[in-house]
Amino acid sequence: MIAARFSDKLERCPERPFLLSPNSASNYADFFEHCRKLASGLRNLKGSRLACYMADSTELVAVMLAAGMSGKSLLMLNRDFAYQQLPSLLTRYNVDVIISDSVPEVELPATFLDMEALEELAYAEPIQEYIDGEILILTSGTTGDPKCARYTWADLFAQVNERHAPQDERWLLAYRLNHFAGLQMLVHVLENGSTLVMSRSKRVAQALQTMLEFSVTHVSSTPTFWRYALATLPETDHRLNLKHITLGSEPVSSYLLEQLQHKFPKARIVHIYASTEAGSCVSVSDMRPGLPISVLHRDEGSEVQFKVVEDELYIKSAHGMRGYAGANEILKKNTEGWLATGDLVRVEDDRILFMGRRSETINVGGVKVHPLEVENIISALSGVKLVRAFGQENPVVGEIVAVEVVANDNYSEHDVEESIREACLRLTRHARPRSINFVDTIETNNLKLKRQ
Amino acid sequence: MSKELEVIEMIKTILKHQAMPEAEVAMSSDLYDDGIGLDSLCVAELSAMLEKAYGNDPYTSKIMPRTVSDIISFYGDT
Repeated sequence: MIAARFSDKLERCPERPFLLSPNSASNYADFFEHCRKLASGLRNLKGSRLACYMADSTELVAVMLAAGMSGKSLLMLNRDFAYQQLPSLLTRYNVDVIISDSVPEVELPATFLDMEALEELAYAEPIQEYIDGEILILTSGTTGDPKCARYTWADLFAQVNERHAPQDERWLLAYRLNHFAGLQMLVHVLENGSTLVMSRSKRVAQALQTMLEFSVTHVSSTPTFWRYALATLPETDHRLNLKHITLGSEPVSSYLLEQLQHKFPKARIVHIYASTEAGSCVSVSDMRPGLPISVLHRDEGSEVQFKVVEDELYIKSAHGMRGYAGANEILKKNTEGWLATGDLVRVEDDRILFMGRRSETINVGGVKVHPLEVENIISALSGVKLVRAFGQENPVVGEIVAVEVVANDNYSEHDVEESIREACLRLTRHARPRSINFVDTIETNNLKLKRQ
Repeated sequence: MSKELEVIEMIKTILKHQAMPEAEVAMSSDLYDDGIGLDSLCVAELSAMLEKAYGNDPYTSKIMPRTVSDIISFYGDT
């Protein structure tokens, strides 16, 4: 599968850059050759399941694609995991060999392969026959322990619409490769023959610098990423010439869509709904938040169907993962194949609007409040750069709505707080923030706001 | 500012947040229905404000003060 995608590019655009980063550049032809050699080495390793514990890099992409061609199954470990977490994960998922860019300071229940050993493997004879491998992705674990979703590379490529990308189409890798969205990005680039640009780090300021340095034209990231980016980019800075923006992993507000359109008038802006378990489900490009209600009326045989039950969005997807890899990991699908997404929605006119994650609902004296409805009001205020709403434990009503705010420069915190109080008067009394704190920055997890 | 005045100021701020009419708040004022009229949401906010300002608050300690004076006494005792 991977080799076939490369072969196609070798015929069409062998010299086109496949991966660009501040310290490396590889075209399709060279990178494929490197992956073939590495795949040959990986195939000779004992055991069927590998894990990689590496920071995003060209080497990591090479390992991923080589494993995928060698027929090995590859577990993508988050490089932010502590060394102490590795043994139990390797045991749980029956990993035979772990590849890492650093030497873990713990005893591991698998053969360890460092980058030097990997380099030696890469000088083996190029692989001739390709076997499609599996890739295992750990979920973010926002609703409990992470689970491990199992995909074949063919499954991932099947979710991408093939088209021939123009020579100058360059995508920023904003997500991490160990996440489903990052993996989708890699597959999308390889399928279409475009170029993937990797930043030195996932910090927004660094990503913006990389986008300028490498003339990035296409970006797929979260609304939180863009809120940070818009807050960082001066109003007068028009150097970024974006042609396409994809928003995903979090609900998008109409205010953010308007801001992006204003900042990048030539960009096509779409938002997508996807999950690690169900895969890519729908793409919306009408510049309105939420999903069109028409998705609720899709035929039985549709690739992806949607329904709303008790304010929660359910999905029935013909693609998506094969299953979980862990013995005790069970997907909460009903007998008809419907998956509860955990996303709370309300249907308003012709739209399905997202209210937030069920797990992030704030219970204020028995009344459910969704952080998004609070954030959407506050983030539209001129003195507010960033905002995060969350439930704060309270002895009187169980939880109160608390917000953390990063104020824009040249605004006094007192004035911003007054404007927040006033704007939130339109919310029900339970939903109004009872605690407002000003902070220098707001923590994110994989470019999403952390609300718990 | 003394703690008495700080607490009185907090209560006035909460009333303002709720767009409630400005009330006379004194040390002996009843905090709830028969006095200032703080309801559970106002009290929740007062609890959060006291906790933020002083590190603890009577409500978290399962004490239900009736008056401003009771709140001050809580801090006097701790």
